[in-house]
Amino acid sequence: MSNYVTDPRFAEIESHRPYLVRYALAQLRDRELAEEAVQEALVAALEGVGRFDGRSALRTWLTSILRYKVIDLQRRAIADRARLEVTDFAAETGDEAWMDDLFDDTGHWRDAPQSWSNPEAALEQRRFWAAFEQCLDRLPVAGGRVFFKREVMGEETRSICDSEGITESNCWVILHRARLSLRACLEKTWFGGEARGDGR
Amino acid sequence: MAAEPVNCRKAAQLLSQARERALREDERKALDHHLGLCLQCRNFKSQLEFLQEAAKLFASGGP
Repeated sequence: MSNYVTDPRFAEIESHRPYLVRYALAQLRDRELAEEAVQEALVAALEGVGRFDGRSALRTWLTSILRYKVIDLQRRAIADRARLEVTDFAAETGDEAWMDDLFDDTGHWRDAPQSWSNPEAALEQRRFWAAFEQCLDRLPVAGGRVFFKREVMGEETRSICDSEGITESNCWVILHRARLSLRACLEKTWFGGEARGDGR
Repeated sequence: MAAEPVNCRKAAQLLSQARERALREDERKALDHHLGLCLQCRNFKSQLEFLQEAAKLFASGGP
């Protein structure tokens, strides 16, 4: 490994590790396997970094390598499938009682969405992305995974439901809940009055 | 079909589901009517659009 560590691109490639683990976790649902896939992908990336031509984003290139490692590990993990398919959805769907925390008896927002000032500018700030990742981490496990597949990877809802083994309407509930939770989290940690004007 | 009025709770749900399926005409009408009256739900709609954009950018490591 020592020759990798001295490669000037090592730190840059390494900085994408948290994203890649999240990507792998969305599909493998098993932290150990996900980290194994990422480790293999990063080693392959460092070996092949000469082939990276810079036409796509580094993260996109790394993700394309990881995708193959994930498929590989999925095949190897197939024997464990029964264990992996024990879903964590029960607590996240069920009835609509969770919405009572967000809406009052008359159906009004308890914590009304504010108008966010200059959201486009946030996208260009490194600190915003740290806040975004923290908010993703606060989502319930299944919600985080489904949101990641749907909005980050751009998978079709139907294919997500199939691979998760849940109904389409359960998928909608999970996504809705994840979106509500993310928007509340970002409003609090980034777009809220307290976070504004602190020199970011 | 006559559009049944919706509240914020229902409007938010429809806004989210509109990203997964085509809304029925009565749903769309009721939602549009509500959005015309409710700034908070219009804010939520913009935030959903922002989340979608941010998630896409996240996949390529930022802007």
